Amino acid sequence: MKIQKILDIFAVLMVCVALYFAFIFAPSEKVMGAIQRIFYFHVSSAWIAFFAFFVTFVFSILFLIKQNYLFDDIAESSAEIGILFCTIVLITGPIWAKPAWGVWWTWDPRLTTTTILWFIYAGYLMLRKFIDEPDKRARFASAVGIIGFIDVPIVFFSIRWWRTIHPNVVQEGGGGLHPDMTKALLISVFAFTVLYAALLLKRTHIASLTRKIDSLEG
Amino acid sequence: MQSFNYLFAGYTVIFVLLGFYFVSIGSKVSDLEKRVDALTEED
Repeated sequence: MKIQKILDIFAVLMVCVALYFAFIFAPSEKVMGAIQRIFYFHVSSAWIAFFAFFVTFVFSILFLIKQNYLFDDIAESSAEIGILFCTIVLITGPIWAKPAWGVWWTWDPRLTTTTILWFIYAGYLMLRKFIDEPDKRARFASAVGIIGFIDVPIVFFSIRWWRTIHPNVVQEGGGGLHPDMTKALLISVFAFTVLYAALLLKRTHIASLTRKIDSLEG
Repeated sequence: MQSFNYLFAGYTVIFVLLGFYFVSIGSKVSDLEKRVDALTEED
């Protein structure tokens, strides 16, 4: 597992670099002040959550076509990591919202659809726990992994489709971001992508080891 | 100053969650590897 260790160290290093860019390199936002700096890891977490659920979607389809349990292991692992990053989004969002909007929470379309996304994949993981038979579990979970992904584009486009107070930074021209802020954001997204890869490799290894133990124990 | 408190709280949450998950799956991997080795030896 040399690759795993290299990836772990690289992920930790990249997160440290991302912290430097978020706290020191990026300039202070004039209106919001220090709290704006939470944006770099908040947005990166949201992108990784979307990407993780996309991986679950792709590997759920692959499992249904090929019936290879490795694909099911990857889908499950990615969904679990996606939930972790989605949880970070749902916690850091209100921490930013309180000083910026004056309230912890509002039923804004972006916030509401993100909460629904969290519940969909929490349901996906619960479903996996409730079904004992491996083949049935993998098939049912794959169906949820495919259908549940419908909410990801809804979350992404919610700020364009409906009236919302959520800031839109992913748009033509960078949403008015200072170039150094854009650099800090891109570094954070890259750091979180490396972290995601490290976590996925480790978590998929757990899933395959568990499968091996089940087969050895009969 | 209050803005810093929120910022600190936000990053604390991020690193507690990520750190906990990172460490917990790391220790689970080593536990499972030991169990696989034990089961293989039994066979």
